[in-house]
Amino acid sequence: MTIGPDTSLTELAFIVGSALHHAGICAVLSGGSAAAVYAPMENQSRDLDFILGYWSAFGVSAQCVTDLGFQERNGSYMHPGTSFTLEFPQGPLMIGSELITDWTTLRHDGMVLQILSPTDCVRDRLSWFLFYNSADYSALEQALAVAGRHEIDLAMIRAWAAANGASDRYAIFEARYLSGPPNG
Amino acid sequence: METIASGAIFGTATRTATLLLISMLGETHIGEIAVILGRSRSRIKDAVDGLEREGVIVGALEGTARRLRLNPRYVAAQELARLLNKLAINDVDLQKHLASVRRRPRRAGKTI
Repeated sequence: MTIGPDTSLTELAFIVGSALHHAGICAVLSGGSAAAVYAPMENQSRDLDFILGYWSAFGVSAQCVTDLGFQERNGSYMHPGTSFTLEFPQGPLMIGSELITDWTTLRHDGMVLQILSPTDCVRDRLSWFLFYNSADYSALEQALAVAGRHEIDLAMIRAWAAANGASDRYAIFEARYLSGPPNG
Repeated sequence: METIASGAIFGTATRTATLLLISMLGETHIGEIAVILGRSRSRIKDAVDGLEREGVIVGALEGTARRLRLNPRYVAAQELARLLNKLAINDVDLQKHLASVRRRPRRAGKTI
């Protein structure tokens, strides 16, 4: 598949995810780009964050990404055909101080994408809303969008928020989630 | 913007909206509140000064900005926080409005 101006974030995620997978690199799509794959939004992320699933003192080869036409600049990978950028933060995969060892594998047209599970994607987005000094309500909207379109473990998310002392602010999320359709 | 916060249960509409925003955001400053509510800095400053005088909120200088938050030592801090959270839960329009204002810093060099 060619990367061009019409390539969507989801298509690009699968293209890059497949290249990484075939190169034997364990990298999991996370952050706002994972939320955008689960629930495309108007103001969605332009950065695809693939978290390396393990730590390596030697790093990993970027060959499979440069083979797709991306070039590294200031830690980001850019492509002349698209405005989306790639980043590869060093793992391990964490939500707050919690190590994430299970994620979801999506398959489409013979391509593979390792991505946070919908529940962890919601937790990842909510962490910016619940725990950041200055609550990020765009992250709340992303969490609601994902939660509204995919099956999530609400009890687990509620318990996680409570265990981290954020029950009051979490109540804003749950009330919106239970009230109806995403963004409704 | 007109929201539930436009009510005047804490004296005036501006004062009520300011207090609700400080609660919803956790931490903010006068300039940000003015932009979000579409009101003048001087009106917000008057509201903030009044709330601070009564010990409901506290401000701390960080760099050049004075960061505002609810005062955890206020005599009815927990009750007030619970009431404001209830108002926040019901003000979905304000939640969505806040979502349109990007607040989290981006890594240096990233495009917006």
